[in-house]
Amino acid sequence: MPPFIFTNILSLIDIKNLIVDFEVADADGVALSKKRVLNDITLSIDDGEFVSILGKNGSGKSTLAKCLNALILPTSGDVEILGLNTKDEKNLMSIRQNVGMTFQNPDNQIVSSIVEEDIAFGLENLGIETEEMKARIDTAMRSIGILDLRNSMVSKLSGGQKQKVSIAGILAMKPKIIVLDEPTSMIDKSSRVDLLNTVKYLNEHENITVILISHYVEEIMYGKRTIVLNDGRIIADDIPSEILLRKDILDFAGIDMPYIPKLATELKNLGKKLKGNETKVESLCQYLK
Amino acid sequence: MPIFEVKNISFRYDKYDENASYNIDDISFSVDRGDFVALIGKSGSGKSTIVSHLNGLKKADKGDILYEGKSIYDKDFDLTSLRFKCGVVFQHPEYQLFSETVIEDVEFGALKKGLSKDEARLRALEALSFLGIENLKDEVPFNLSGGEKRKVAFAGVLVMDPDVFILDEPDAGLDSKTKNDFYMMIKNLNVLKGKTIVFITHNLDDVIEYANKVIVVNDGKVERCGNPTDILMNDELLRKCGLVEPYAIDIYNYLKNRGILIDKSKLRFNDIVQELNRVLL
Repeated sequence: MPPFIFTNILSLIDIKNLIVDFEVADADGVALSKKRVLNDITLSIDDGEFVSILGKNGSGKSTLAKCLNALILPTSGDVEILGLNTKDEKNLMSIRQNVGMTFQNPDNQIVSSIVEEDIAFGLENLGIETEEMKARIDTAMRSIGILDLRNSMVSKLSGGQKQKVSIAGILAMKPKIIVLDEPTSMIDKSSRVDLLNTVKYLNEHENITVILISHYVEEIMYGKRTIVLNDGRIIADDIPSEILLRKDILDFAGIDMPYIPKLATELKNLGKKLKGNETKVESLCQYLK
Repeated sequence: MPIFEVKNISFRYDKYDENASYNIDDISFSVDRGDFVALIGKSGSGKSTIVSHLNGLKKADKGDILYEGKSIYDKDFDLTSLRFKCGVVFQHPEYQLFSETVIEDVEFGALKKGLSKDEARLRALEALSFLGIENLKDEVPFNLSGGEKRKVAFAGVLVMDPDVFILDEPDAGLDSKTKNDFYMMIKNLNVLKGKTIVFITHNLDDVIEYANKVIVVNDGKVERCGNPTDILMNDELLRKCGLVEPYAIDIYNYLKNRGILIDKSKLRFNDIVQELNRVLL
């Protein structure tokens, strides 16, 4: 495909030559050394895209996510959301209303003691009417499957349940963009599928742009575009099925094949009649002796 | 004698309401020395609450826990030494990191255990290189990524050389290469050094791969306890507990329905490769 140049079209997310350094300081705040976490990232994401971000531990994924809603500001370069630069303080409110984010650790973003109140918190701050608020909370809780937790104490929830509550809180706010940082790391398999289907539905039917950070190949397949980070740089940007064929890229990203394709590859190498990218038990076992 | 014997423990978070129901109720199981035990169950079933009782971080409202035959609730019981013998890595590693540099954080436990400064430093460096993160030793732990923090937290437990490792979803947030290395390392600690492992996971294929015993937790109760293959083949049980059967069992069932029986005790990944190699064209 020839490169398409978006010079006149405004992207939803526009990142230009983004560099982020973390400073290591001693106890008196004197800078000792610098660590480059993101190195010259240039990237644009359009309205309605579903982008997954892959990369090893420490490759810069979460830092990039935090640049999107101005929690981390560029050391140099620019991040623009809907044309608003994150460096400009007067843009902060509009940027954060448009970019909803869930963190790796849900405890970092849960504020109330009761589940329903926590989900309402964001909406109250947006000044949404009570009726509308109730409806949105219901929808968000139903789509994540936590209606039964409505009146539970947050402090008594498990890690996985808190993860679901924090996601419902973001969905209820209906932001333009949702950024999910490893949203299913503590959730059981069946809830994981439900959750991703919900996210996919919102992407397709409500036109919410999704940015999903994940270590699971099964999850990146929900998206239409995958970006691979290594050592703070983008090393690949393509559709997920293409990325999966690139053994070198997967190695860089620290990605292992899911169970069935991994079996298929092993068996293909043993001379079996297989393509090596089968994903279902039926296709794996189709040629029985 | 089992290393841990959990006897009918119940616990509720709500201490002020006498009518509040127990979050975990009448839990009993035992762990033998050298066991590799997996706790499985839906989010919110009570897994983390159960394991945090094992080294006395939570105190049961009812019931008793015996460590090497002695009640940990006995007033003469030395809880501090239990905590040295029984290392925990939490779900969120940042809750157990606190020092200014990674190396200081990792050697903390060893120093508290009474090792000399030099020896503690040496052990900490060993643990870091064991985990492949020696290069992070002078970093501030809080600047690290989620997965890196998890490794640092684990290194901190490793230097104390405990007899029992309690790992609450140790693979959450790790990339899959790191995850595989991590499990291999735990497996080695288990097989070569006889360490007892108790871990919580949502990945049931990992249970088949590594565990010799599984405890299924459902709605605050122990639903079943026993051999991983038998439990994970029990369709009805899994459905009741909201769990999805692992791929290895899928393959076993698929072949069984076509008249091909593979050995039940051979469902680890490499075994499945061998078995399929035998039956596929």
